[in-house]
Parts: sequence; C-alpha cells; structure tokens
Amino acid sequence: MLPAPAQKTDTSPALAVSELSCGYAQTEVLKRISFTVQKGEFVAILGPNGAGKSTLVLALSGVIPLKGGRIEILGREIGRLSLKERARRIAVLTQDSEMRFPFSCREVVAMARYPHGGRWQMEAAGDREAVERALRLTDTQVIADRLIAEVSGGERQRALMAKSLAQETPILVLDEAVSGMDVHRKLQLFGVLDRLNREENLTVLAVLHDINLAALFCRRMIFLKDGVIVADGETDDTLTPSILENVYRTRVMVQEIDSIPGKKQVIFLP
Amino acid sequence: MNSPSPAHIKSSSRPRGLLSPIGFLGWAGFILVIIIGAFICSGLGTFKTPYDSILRLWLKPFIPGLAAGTDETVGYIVLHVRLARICLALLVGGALALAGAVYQGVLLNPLADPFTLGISTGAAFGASVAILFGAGVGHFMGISALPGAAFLGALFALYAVYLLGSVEGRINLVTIVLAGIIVSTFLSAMISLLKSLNEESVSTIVFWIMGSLSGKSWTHVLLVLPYIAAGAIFILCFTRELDLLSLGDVQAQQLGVNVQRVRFRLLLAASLITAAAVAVSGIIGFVGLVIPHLVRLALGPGHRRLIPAAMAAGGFLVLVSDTIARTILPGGAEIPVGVVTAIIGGPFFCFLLLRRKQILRLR
Repeated sequence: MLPAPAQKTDTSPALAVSELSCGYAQTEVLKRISFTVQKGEFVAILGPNGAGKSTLVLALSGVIPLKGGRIEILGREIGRLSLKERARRIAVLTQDSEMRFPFSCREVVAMARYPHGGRWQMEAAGDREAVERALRLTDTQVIADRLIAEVSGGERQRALMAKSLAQETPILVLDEAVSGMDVHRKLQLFGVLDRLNREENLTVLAVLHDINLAALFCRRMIFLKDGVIVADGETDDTLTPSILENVYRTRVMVQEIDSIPGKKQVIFLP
Repeated sequence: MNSPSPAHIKSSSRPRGLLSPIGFLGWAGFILVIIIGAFICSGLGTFKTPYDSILRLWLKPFIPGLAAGTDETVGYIVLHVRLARICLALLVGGALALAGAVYQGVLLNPLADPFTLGISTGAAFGASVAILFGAGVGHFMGISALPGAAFLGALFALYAVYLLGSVEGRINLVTIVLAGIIVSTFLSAMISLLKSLNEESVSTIVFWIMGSLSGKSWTHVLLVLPYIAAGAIFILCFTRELDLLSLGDVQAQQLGVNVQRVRFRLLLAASLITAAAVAVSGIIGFVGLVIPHLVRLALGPGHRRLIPAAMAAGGFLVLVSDTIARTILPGGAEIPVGVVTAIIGGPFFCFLLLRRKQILRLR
C-alpha cells in the first residue's frame, strides 16, 4: 500500500471512484456509485435535477466529506492529498460566483495560480504566462482589466473559465459552467476544451443540462438519477431513446445529423 | 468583435505591482507623508516647541551633539510626551485599520470593522474589568496583564457576535452587524456601570468609551508594539488567502485554501491586534471601517497592497485626529480622539456611500 507518486508516465486513471456515498447532514445524495475515468477522456455527467451531479462535483473537489467509499485522483486517495496538491490535480468551474470586492478579471484569473505558489512566493514568470494563455484561449483579453462585477454574465463565465484553465490541472471539472452563455460562446468554449483534450490530453468531466451539447463534444456519458448511475458508456451506445426516456421520463427522438457523421442530437417530445 | 473603447479599459485599470517603480515611489511617498505629518504634529500644542529644536532633537541619535543647548523641558516634551504619543497614534490607527481590512476580507462584509462587530467594545470591557481588579496602570505586572484581559474580552465579544449573527451555522451578512451593535451597546453600558461603581468621573468613562491617547508614554508603546507587530506579520503571510476568500468558500476550497482554518486564524489575529490597540487607547471608531474602503478605492482590493497601505493610512488618520483632539480646545483641555475620527469619518463615509455605492457593493 505504498502511495504511488503521480507521474505523467504512470498508468493510474485520472479519476477512480468506488462505492462512493456522500451527501449532507441527514440525507445521502450519492449511493455507492463507482466509475473510472481514464486520462484524456471527455465525459459528460447528465441527469435530471436532484440526481446528485453537483454533489459529485463537490465530493471530487474535496469540499464535502465522503460518507463511504473512496476517490482516487491520478492514483492518490483524495484524503491523502494536501489541499494544494489536490488543487494542482483537479480544477472546478462552477456556475455561479459572486465577487464581493472589485477585482479585475485578470486578478481573478491570477488567483488560480495559488496552488502553484508557496507562502512567500511572489508572482512568478510561469504564473504570468499561464494567465495570459488562459485569457487568450477564452478570448477574454479585452475584458481582462475590467472589474469582474461589471462585465456581463456570459463574459464573467468566460473569465471564470480562464481562471480554471490558468490553474493548469490535468483534470478539469465543469459544473453547469456554460448555462448562462449564448450558443456561439458555448460552442467556442467547448471547441477550446475539445482542442486541449485532444492536443494536451486534458481530462474533462462536464456536468451538463444541455444534452445536445454533450452529444456534440463528449465521447462518453454517465447518467445519474436519484444518486445512482443508471447508464455509463460511449455516447453512441448511451444516447438511445430507452435510456433517455428512463432518465428524463419524457418521450424522446434521437436523430443523426446529416452534416456531421457520427453525431446525434436529441429532441424531447411533448 | 465589439471591443470596448480604450478609455473604458483605462478607467478601471489600476496601478499594479508592489515592486514596480511607481509602486516603490508610492510606498516611499507614504512613509515620507507620515514622517512630515508627525513632524508638523509634534510642533503643535499648548506648550510651544520651535520646529528647529524638534528637528535637532529628532536627529540627535544620528548626529551626536546636535541637540546641545536645547531647553531641557522642550526636550522632554518633544521626545517623551509628544513623540511617544505620535508613535502610539500611528500604532493604534494602523492596528485598527488592519483589523478592519481583515474583518471585511474574512467575513466578506463591507460593514465589518472592530467597532461595528463589537470587538473593540469587548476589548475595552475586558480591560475595564482588569483595571477594576487592580491591574491598573502603574504596576508592572498589571500593565502586562492589560492586553491579555482586553484580548479575552475581544474573544468573548467575537464569540457572542458569531453566535448571535450566524443563522444555521452560516454567517449572515446583515445579522452579524446587528449582533455586533447589540453586543457593543450592551458591553459599553457594562463598562459605564463598572466605571461608575469604581467611583470614576463621567469624563473618564467618556474618554475610555470614545478613545483617548491622553497621558500615554513610551511604556504604552512598548506594551502594545509586540502584539501589533506579531499580528501584522502573521496577517501579511495570508494576503493571497484573503484574496481567494472573496471568491466564496467553495471556490477558495477548490483552489486549495483551508477556508475554516484560515478564517479562524485571521479572526484571532485581527482580534488580538484590536485588543492591544484598545487596551491603551479605549474605543476609537470609524478608522477600521473607513480606511480599508478608501484604500480599496485607490489601490484596488488586492490584499498584498491593501493591508500595508491601510496600516499607513490608518496610522496617519489617528495621528491627525489625535493632534486635533489635543489642540482644538484652548487652555490644554482635550476631547476624546474617537469624537474627532467620527466627525471626520462619518460624513466622509456618507459621501463615499452616496457616490460609489456600486464599488462598495453595499446591498
């Protein structure tokens, strides 16, 4: 039982969740769920409201304690990682964020460099590069010096995306991160994630409401319902009317897109 | 595509970089302003001291023999009465502004400061009890017990405010300030009662509740300096964490901050600093509230610059206020320094509130 150091060459999965139970004071939201995500996967977590998606994100990022089971991030058990070590392995982009103080977008993005620095370390060269790169990738240079409280909701979400990218983690978790964005920006950001996923082997785990966005970009889908995994597999295999009708309790139609071979879209019927 | 005009970008950009040339000049300017302010203030007062004697006396440690021939009384007044009081004013003001900046940053509450949270009053209450039980100024052991008693009082107030102000374990923005006011009002009534039972005059009580640096000496400076210095150094190690706390608990945790532990330690450190300041000066209000906001408007919210700048500005405000407090009445009579800070700070805060409601984000 020696803790294996996480190196780029080792074969341990990005995330290994086994028999995970967790929740809040009295209620158990997630009930003994297990799944493994290999490095370089692009996974969607889908399911109706209250299925436990956000709870899963909080558990993966160490914000709430586990009630049972275990989570391994790049081969190390989550409880045995220091908080900064964990933050160097996994970044989370959440939906809502309220800034109390008038920080500029660039200052907020630079906060993501915290887990890479020691107590006495001032801003290093690597920090500045990471911040500028993240701003460029998310197309947020023009708003970088504006106050984050004063930009529009979509712009703020892009700045927060830049923050998560500046954290430079091998794993990125998105929790409803594009809900407030228009179609153009959604596709643009997922295009960036897709590129990072293919070119730099970034592991992406995206909690999404928009099943059609997931169908376009995610190669694997995990469906959660009432705290258990009801389906888990490649997008082609899981995007079927029978699974979707079971999860969402709604009649659906799954269609191939003529112009993009291999991609499907879902239409929910009244 | 539709990029904002350059003017718009410029309007919200701020001077940045602690070690950039402008930043360095800024800090040097700050220190210079404080030294010049202290110099001017030390020449004001009922007892006239010529500025050339003050200059010579101040430079005596560096150039021996320079002060030869200056009047002995003038020397005593300048070095032992006024300079000690100036240093204490800078120290107390810096401490209160620092504590205010930390409370605002940790509780994410623009209305938080040592006074509104009731911490100052708690510290004053602790100190009053200690003085009542014979730990008054004059006994050596008594003097060293005073900041400790004030700290206990401050912790008691912090705990009470936390209990009253949190709803279901979470700190509520509005209720915590209401709780602070309740605790503060109750404890200042208790202070008045204690002092009255001790047959002290009403004026002594007023000077304690409204703050005063009257009659303080180097003993008092040395008494509180270690506490304030230790607390300030500790807090300066947590400036990045203070920035990250403003993202909210969950995001700060996801970036690797141990939110509970950092918050607890910073609250303790700020309370210790407040207690040390209050133990020698009584309750001086408004410094901890106004100064951090002012500095944030000028330098932005980043705590690496905010904390030292707030200390400098807070020290300067109390220095000026104390000089006004001891010189405004004819014949050497004094008014409490807290009266002056409130008279300066109150309207100024109203002005800020009306003009920059969005920046202060008071909702």
